[in-house]
Amino acid sequence: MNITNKIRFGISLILFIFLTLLQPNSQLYAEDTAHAFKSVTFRINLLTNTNRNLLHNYWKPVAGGEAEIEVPFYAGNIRAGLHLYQYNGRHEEYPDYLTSYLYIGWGVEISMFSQIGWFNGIRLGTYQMSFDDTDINPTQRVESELGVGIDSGLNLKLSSRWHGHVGLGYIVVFTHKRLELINLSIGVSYTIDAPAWLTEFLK
Amino acid sequence: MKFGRKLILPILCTISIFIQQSLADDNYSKYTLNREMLQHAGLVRLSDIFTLIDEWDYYSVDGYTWQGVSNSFDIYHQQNWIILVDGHRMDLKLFDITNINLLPISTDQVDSIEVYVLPQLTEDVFSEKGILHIHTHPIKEGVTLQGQFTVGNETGDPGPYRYTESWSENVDRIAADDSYWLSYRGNSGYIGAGYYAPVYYATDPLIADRNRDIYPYGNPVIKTYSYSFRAGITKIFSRPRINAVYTLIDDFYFFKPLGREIPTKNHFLSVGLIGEKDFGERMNIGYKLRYSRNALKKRENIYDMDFNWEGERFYANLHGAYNLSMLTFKLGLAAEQTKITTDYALTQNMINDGIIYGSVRFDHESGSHLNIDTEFRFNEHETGIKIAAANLCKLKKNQGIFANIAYSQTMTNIENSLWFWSEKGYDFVREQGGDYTIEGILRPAKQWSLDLSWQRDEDILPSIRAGILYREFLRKNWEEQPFQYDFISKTVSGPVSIKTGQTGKMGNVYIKLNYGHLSLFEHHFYYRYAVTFGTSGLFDRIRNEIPENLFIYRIIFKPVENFSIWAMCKYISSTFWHDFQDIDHQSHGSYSARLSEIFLIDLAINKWVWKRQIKVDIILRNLLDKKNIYYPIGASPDLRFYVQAELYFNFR
Repeated sequence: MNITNKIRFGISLILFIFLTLLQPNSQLYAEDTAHAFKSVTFRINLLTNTNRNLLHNYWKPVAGGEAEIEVPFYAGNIRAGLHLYQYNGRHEEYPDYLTSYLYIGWGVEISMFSQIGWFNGIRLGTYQMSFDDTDINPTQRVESELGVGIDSGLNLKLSSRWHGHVGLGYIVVFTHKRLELINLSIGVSYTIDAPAWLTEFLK
Repeated sequence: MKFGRKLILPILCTISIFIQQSLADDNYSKYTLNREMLQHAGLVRLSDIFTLIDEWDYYSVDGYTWQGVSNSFDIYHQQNWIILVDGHRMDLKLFDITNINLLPISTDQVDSIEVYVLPQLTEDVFSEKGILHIHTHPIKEGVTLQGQFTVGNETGDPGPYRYTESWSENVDRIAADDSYWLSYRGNSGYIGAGYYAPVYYATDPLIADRNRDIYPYGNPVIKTYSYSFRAGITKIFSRPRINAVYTLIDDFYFFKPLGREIPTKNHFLSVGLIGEKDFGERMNIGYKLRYSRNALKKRENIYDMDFNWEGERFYANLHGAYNLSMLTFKLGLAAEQTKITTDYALTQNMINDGIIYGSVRFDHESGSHLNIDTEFRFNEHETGIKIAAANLCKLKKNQGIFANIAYSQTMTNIENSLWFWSEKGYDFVREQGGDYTIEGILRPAKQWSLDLSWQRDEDILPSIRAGILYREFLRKNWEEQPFQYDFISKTVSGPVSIKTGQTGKMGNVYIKLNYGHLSLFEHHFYYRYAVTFGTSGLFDRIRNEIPENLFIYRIIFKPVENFSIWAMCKYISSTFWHDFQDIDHQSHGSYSARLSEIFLIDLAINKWVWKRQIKVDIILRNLLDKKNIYYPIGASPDLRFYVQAELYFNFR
């Protein structure tokens, strides 16, 4: 970190600390958490990889999808999901591989119009790559790495329980040479009231 | 101008805002890391507690075994601090390394940790180098089942690029760890047993080649198998309680005299019995018995290296305390036998020590107190004496000035260094091609220390503590080992010169703040500046291994009881390791004697569910993924990601 960045960081840190000192105590926040874990949303998205970088010189994205569960949190919503995507090698020396990204995320939805909400969030999880390579030891065919992402999307209210979704997600996988992927997602979701036992369990 | 000095002005300004605020949980000679603090930090292994102890400097070669020194009471060459578990001393130290990961305790089993930062007598142990006293969960009534499961990953794997010209080494996983604990408590007593099995892959590129050179049998894995047992009877005389631990580590043991890791099987066994009885309200008598064994056995390696070492300790004491309202007296008598078993012909393989220890404490009604601790130790060859005097002067109800002065003379068998036993015939170093010279005679080392501090401690508002300390080392036995790098084996080597009769002086100034214990955000600051007043050339050189500036900031965000976010920023200034001064050009820049400043951000997110019976942590270490090297030929722990689940079920 160079000197300028150190000073910037130090000033930012001090400002952040000073702002947090002005925060109210935890009792005020407890009153606003009654809605947490009161509903469950199931979402399915189709994915298509839209960016092109060094990775795409060797592999071609084929198709992908993800399944998510979302619940309201103390603030915003939390999600857990599984994202699958198939990449095929452009030449024989580059084996096909299937990625499975198991993640947890948090975000906030802002109501823009009565039927449309704008969701922004972050996600974090383990990005696993299973290579179709019979020349190597089976234990070496699977690699997993930390994957961090941000996503932004629009939720369209179709009915009291059904929503449509379109959005963009950006994932960075922390391999030695970083993988950077941008995916377009389109899908639907269905929301139910969470059973009392589930709300009690999660709280 | 260094980074630390640039921060001084903004820090002082920040401090001025908090001058009215308090450290609710702090004491003067020790403090406690309670369960809540430990849980917020998302500790994965016991060695992670070093990151929570402000006064400790630490380093690691492999990112798994961490070595530390407490409160400037030494430099890294010797690890003479002490670990207690539930009142039982753990004899973990072996050849100048104290590996806390030998304890079969997963982090979910830790209830609190008392950190003793000044010389004093506690639990019948006098330590002038610091004590960590780990308290495990009290066993509750009924049946209790606990478990902890951790998976982790260190970033930097090649991914799909391993099939391309952008190939890189596979860094691999750094867990999965699992631990289990089952206990029962009834009317008459309690019993509990546990199993803990962490795993670590020593595949960091900076150490992988060294490990594969000696262990070409697959991935170099450090695997631990630990068992623990606790039992107590509460209804009979002296309420005896027993504690037994056994650990086997398939380790890559870094052995500095040979400049490399050596595959070993490290066996550690400790069995202890404690009992005490109150006689009225004023008198208490107790006893302790302990047997421990710490052995290094052979693990498969192509150079057929075998430490062939087993050390046993037998310890027994009888102690009593008497209270006379404002005066408390303690007195104890103990005997300890150290026995070494090895195929090397030792001129002496058994040492018997006698120990007399005691303390006097005077408590004034104002809250001030004066405490004097002492220990006298002797065997047929040497004597050692330790004494510490501590005085707290209460200025106001929540404000005081504290002073501690201590002197110690530590017997050579207590330092228990490799060279002590090498002198007696343990010839492992030379047999493996290493070379060493002891210049002079190994004699008991001496130490003076002085600590002065002022603290303002209030219940609601945060508190501040500022202090200075002074250390003087006399007749120390320190090593100098100019390493040379071998490009083929990727190892280092060099003759060791043990220089006896060395001296050194150092001092620190520090400031510590805590704020917001009951609010949404809880802050903690610590800054330390260290300086040497070296009278010995060797001390001036090796002292630079300890960083001059240390800054720590921790914050906890707790909007509700069952959810929190914890973060830590840590800055450690640059260090220079004199023994490795030739390594930069010899390794073509792969290694360096000067280690860059370390800047760390760690993050932990905790969520309790199911009525606080399950806790899930998401932990990120080294969030900025900076290259942080703690030892010139050591690993650089990159960004690491853990998911950890803890289960706690109690059935009555």
